[in-house]
Amino acid sequence: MKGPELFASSFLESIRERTLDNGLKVICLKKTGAPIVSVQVWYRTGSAHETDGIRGISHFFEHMMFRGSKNFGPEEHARMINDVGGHYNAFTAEDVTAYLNSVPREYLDMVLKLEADRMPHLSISEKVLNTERNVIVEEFQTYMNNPLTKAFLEFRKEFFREHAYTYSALGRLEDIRRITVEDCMNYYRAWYTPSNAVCVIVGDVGDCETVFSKVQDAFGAIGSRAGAASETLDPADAPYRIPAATWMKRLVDFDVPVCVVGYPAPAAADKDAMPLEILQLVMSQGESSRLHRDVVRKQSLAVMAGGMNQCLRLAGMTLFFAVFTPNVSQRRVERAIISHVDAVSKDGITAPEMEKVKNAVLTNRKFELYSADHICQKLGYSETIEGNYRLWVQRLSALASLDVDTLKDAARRYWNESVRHVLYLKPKKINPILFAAGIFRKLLPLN
Amino acid sequence: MTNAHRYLFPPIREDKLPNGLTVLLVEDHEQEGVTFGFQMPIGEFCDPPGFEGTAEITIGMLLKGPQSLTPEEFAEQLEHVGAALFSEVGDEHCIIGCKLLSRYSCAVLPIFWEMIRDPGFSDKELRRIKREMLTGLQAETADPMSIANRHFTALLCGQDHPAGRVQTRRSVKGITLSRVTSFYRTFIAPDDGIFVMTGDFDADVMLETVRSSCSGWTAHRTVRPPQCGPLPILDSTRIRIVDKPDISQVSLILGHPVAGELDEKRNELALANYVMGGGNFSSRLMAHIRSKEGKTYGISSQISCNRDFGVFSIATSTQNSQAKSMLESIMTVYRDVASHGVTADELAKAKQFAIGNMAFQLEGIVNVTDKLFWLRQFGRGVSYIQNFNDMVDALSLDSVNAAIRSYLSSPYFAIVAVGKKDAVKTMLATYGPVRTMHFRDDPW
Repeated sequence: MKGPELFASSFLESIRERTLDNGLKVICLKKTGAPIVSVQVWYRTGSAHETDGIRGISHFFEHMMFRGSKNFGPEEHARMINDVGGHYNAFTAEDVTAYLNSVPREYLDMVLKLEADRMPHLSISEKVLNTERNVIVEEFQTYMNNPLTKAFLEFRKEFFREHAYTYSALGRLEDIRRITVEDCMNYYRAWYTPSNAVCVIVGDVGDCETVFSKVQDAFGAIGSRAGAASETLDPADAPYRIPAATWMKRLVDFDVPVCVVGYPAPAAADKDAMPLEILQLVMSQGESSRLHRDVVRKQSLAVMAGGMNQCLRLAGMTLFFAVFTPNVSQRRVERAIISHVDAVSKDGITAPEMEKVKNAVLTNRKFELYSADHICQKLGYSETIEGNYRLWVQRLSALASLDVDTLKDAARRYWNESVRHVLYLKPKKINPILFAAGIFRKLLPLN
Repeated sequence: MTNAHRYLFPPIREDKLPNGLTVLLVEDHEQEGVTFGFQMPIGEFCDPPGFEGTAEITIGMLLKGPQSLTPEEFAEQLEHVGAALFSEVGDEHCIIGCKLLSRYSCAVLPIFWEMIRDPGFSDKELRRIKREMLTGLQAETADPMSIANRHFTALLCGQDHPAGRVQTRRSVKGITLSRVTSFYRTFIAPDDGIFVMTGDFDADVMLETVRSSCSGWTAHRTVRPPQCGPLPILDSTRIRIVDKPDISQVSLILGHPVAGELDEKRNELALANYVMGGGNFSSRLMAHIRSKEGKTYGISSQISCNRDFGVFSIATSTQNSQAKSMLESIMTVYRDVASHGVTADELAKAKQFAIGNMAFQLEGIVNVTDKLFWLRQFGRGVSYIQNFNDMVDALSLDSVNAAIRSYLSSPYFAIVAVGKKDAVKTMLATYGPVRTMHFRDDPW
């Protein structure tokens, strides 16, 4: 598993898969290097599968999954993982809810039993539901007390207007306050089934055939439940209608102005996803990126600038942002970002930029491979969001064949004015020190 | 006796260069990656009083590259091959490092050492870094827990102790290029430094590359880093409310001084902390306050350690209206552990956690490099890891509970609450005199 061949067929062949009779798909990779194993169960359900009245139930349910099942008491799952030195986590996103466990390798059986028990036998009582509701409300408030998070969620709502992604996994507080045991059980029966889940196992596990046998022992008896959702959402079922351009200003309790410029991106499995990721990296990753070199260093308009690509199952977004001082005009910052986006759309990127990004992506992938947990997450993501775990591997091979013309074409089609969304976060109060710092910089230009 | 592996540290090639630099090389051929770093026994405690942030700015300036290149050229050279620099500035140590593909390591090492040996300090870069730091300090005012942390450190440690001298806008603004240059000349040197490199390379070849690229650096540290004594003893409970009127929750941090990393009871304290609040859902704080009472999304305790002193703290957040009952719940759990100690069953689980978790701390080259730095920072050899299981297994219930009686049964706390002043002040006043500040205020 070393060198460029890592992402070639030999590596793919080392990943094994099996589908149990009840529909549970299992992906296994033996990885030595540390005596540990990561086990993750990804359910194909998230906030995109919610309707009005139960916005937030996916995340609520993620909490409930730690509140006990037939053979294990409340939080016993978490405690048992902790107490052997392992760690667990869970997250809810638009398309998936994932449960992540990493333990010393000799506890693989224990983790499989824990996950298998809560897939069909969750216990939900009114009392526990209400206690957990308080916890979730606290979590909701923690996020909302951050003015940037709050403003970004509003922006996102506009970006994905009238779409399954309009609401994030945080949901709506009024819905969270109303969710009942019956709502939870309906949701559980619909989505928490073996055929709607993927189990990924990576680590120092001997051979994968033995692992499949253990998974069969733990999960094999779980039947496909009546009332389960017959199929998950498909991009074709919910076409993303790209909303017209928007320009939003929000006054925030945050001392530093921020400008965000966003464009729609395709679904994660789309052929354009990789080119747009490359372009976003050229624009905004590192001190030699276009935005940093020009907007931060040369023009000295911003203190920092960056970007991100979020590719989801049905649609995505590419965002660029700049953090600046209050004496700089937001319009100048916005224009500066857009001018670079337009330049990429018009002229593409250079061959050295392409080479640089390829090296950066390859380095990141190599370092991800040191961690069983990371590999698990990448395989789980590719299988459930992109539709095939092999894409995680194949994408890197595809990177080698990308040329600058393909990238330019992608930029031209996605990054245009008619679908541009701008968010300006303006501080409610101007901080005199930051203002002075900006003036100071103006008097003593940096370049 | 727990059922776990004995951890074997990978073989280390060790050498000491004539300039005093210790070189540790660990071959690991799992992937085509390399990580390396240079650790010095200097950090924020070396900041001149009133100019807190000098160490961080100096290290930040180093990362802008050597005199022979502009910062843009330097960034381009490294990023072109996918190399990423990193740095860490702690109280008593700092690390400058890089991670990259192994095929580029021989090309990057010389420029890495040139960057440290012959930095291109300029006023222009200093102004840029200061502006970034000032903006960062401003941005922190949006995050209640960051505000609470800064005030807690200042309140507990006091302005006379280096640990209590936190960065402020005033201290950062006052740092000039001559101060940075002076700090560099005084403290940045290879003597007592450690260079650790882990990954896919041949140690013989790499040792020669390190020698040839670093041996010419013959600077010496002209002043020994200051030795910090223990933290001042808390002789009463100190409460500070940081008023942030726009939020619906109160963020709380409370704690007190404990023993440092080199104290003979350090491992007992780590196990006790796991039971108290470090063990997530296995901890008493989570079980009582989240699982049973549903008062918070999360609550945890931690012990952060320097060589000669440590800080025990508990952090959480809850509705403003629940501030008092939250503190009561925390005190109930804390006093119960302090009075009765932990149980044999809890201790067994805490030991199993400590031993099992070591496997994760040694996964991959980044973790192995970090662990080597940590070991050397506290004068430990790899035998510490290899004997870790036995060492943890040997800790008795009596010994752990004795450590709790000595260090985790404080009658007094430093308490910081960030929230709506009017909503929480009266509630907290029952614990002692309250000082109120505004969230935009510096902690002093």
